[in-house]
Amino acid sequence: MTHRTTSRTLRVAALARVEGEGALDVRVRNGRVTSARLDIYEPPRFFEGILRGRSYLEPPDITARICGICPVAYEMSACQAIEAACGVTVDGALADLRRLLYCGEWIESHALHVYLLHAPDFLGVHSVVELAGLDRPAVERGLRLKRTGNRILEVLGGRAIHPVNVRIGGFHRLPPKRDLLELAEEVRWARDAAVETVRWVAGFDIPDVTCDHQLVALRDDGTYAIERGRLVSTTGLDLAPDDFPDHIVEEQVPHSTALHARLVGSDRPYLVGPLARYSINSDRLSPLARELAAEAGLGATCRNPFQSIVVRSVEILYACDEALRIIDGYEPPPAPAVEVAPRAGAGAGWTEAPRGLLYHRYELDADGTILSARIVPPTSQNQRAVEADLRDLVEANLDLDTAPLTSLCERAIRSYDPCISCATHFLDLRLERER
Amino acid sequence: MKVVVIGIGNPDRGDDGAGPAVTALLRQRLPAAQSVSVVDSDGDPARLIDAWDGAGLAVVIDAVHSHAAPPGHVHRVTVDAAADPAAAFAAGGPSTHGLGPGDAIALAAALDRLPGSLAVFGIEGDQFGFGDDLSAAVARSVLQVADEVAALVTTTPDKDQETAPCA
Repeated sequence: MTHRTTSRTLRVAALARVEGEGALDVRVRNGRVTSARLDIYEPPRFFEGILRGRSYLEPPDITARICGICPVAYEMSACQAIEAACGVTVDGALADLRRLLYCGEWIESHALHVYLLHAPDFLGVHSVVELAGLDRPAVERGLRLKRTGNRILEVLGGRAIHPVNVRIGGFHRLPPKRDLLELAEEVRWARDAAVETVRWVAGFDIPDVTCDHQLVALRDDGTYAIERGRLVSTTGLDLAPDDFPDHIVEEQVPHSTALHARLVGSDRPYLVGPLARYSINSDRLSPLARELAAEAGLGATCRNPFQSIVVRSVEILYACDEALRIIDGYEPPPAPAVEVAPRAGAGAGWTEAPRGLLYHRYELDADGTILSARIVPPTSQNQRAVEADLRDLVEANLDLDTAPLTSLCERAIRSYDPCISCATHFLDLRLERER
Repeated sequence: MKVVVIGIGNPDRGDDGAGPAVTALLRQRLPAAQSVSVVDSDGDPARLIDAWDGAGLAVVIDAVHSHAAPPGHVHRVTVDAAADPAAAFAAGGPSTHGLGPGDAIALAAALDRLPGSLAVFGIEGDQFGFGDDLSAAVARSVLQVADEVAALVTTTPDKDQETAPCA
């Protein structure tokens, strides 16, 4: 049916199958989208305020509480920033273990999104429960993949949610080699399951959409960047962590408790996350992941948000490959952590959370007390790009009925796997009193 | 028979911590010889299904906010795998994350991974603020539910000798 009405409003009061609580509001007048908003109403959480006055040793544990899905990302970015402030570099086997822990988080988070949250969109079902009736082996595979990721977090992090074994300088306790070798058995199964996953999602009917955003991701020498690298963009950025504040700013918008980020000097939105990572680093994938990406029809870059389910699946495969590489080469380091003495100064760090770049910066005084903290999570960086995509998507599909058009918008949002609980941010409170 | 007690919730969010408050009491009270696994959970469906995997009896305690009962009211639901296990729950209902315990039960049913018997205690909450204590009504119900669960898991192994698991 073709609509000829001059004004329409699409509204989803509570988005389903996303992490956290948000809403969608799109307004159309005379065939043009006048407003496309991803409303984030989850309350601000004040973590940057909580961190001020605390010890420099505390950010990994405190910021891990920001998210139950990607606590490792917070721990790793926090460690890197504090260690930079204190002039310490953690490398060798300790750095490898950090990367292994991070692989666990990628596998867990991506398996959750691919199988439990996103796949139903492509298979004509409303939920993973319906999907289990349609394709039970696939759902069982997804749950076991997710459990493999959890298991890596338990072995290295002490527990799967908000791991407790990470500390500034390394770990509290090193995993015995035999624990990692046991883990390898399950990861070997997971690698095969990840191959099946890529082939499974490659067969989905995926809308043909291209986004024109600037893509921004870490890039590292030799490996697909996860826990380190320089920040690179498709428009020529090449930054060290200390350069971040000069190039990326955050702004408040009335409809959201999440800040909106933008690149200085550009009105064009930018995108972080799997599409950006893949497009900037596909040449850094392992041979098996590269082979499966090509088999799934991915080129050297990917600009279709709906194809992110394929990219995430390739990243699960890469994370399994990396986990096995690290476990196979693991020799326990002499100590679980290197000493990190406090000093006055500032340091920044960043890593690739499953949903994209996560930046931390801390300013310390001489005894290690935190004077200021800044955290920029991926979802708030992507919010402008998501809203721009919604605007384009609605204008290109105005002939659809409201229900399918709204559903298409929800699918578009889920393609970005927004983590709204991560994105909620501190808002300035201005109080004016009349005398 | 494997018996597992699962407390769902966040102890730092007021009455949402009712489930972990019950499990904390049970860890102190259940005799060491009692082979009951007592765990806490964030309610993630995959982890919940893993937690009760292979159990003859699973008991889940969670806070609820139905607006249909006063604070401290205890909703008791026994999930029957032979009937419609998800019917008692609003699968896909409000949750701070994508999927909640109702989805876990429905998903487990679809995958034949429900425990032999599943008893759910939902304690009606009142305050869920950051760092809040349990409200007085909920704290009283926590004691009551801990008594009931202790009695249930202590007597169940004898019952199991007469009753075949239904899933």
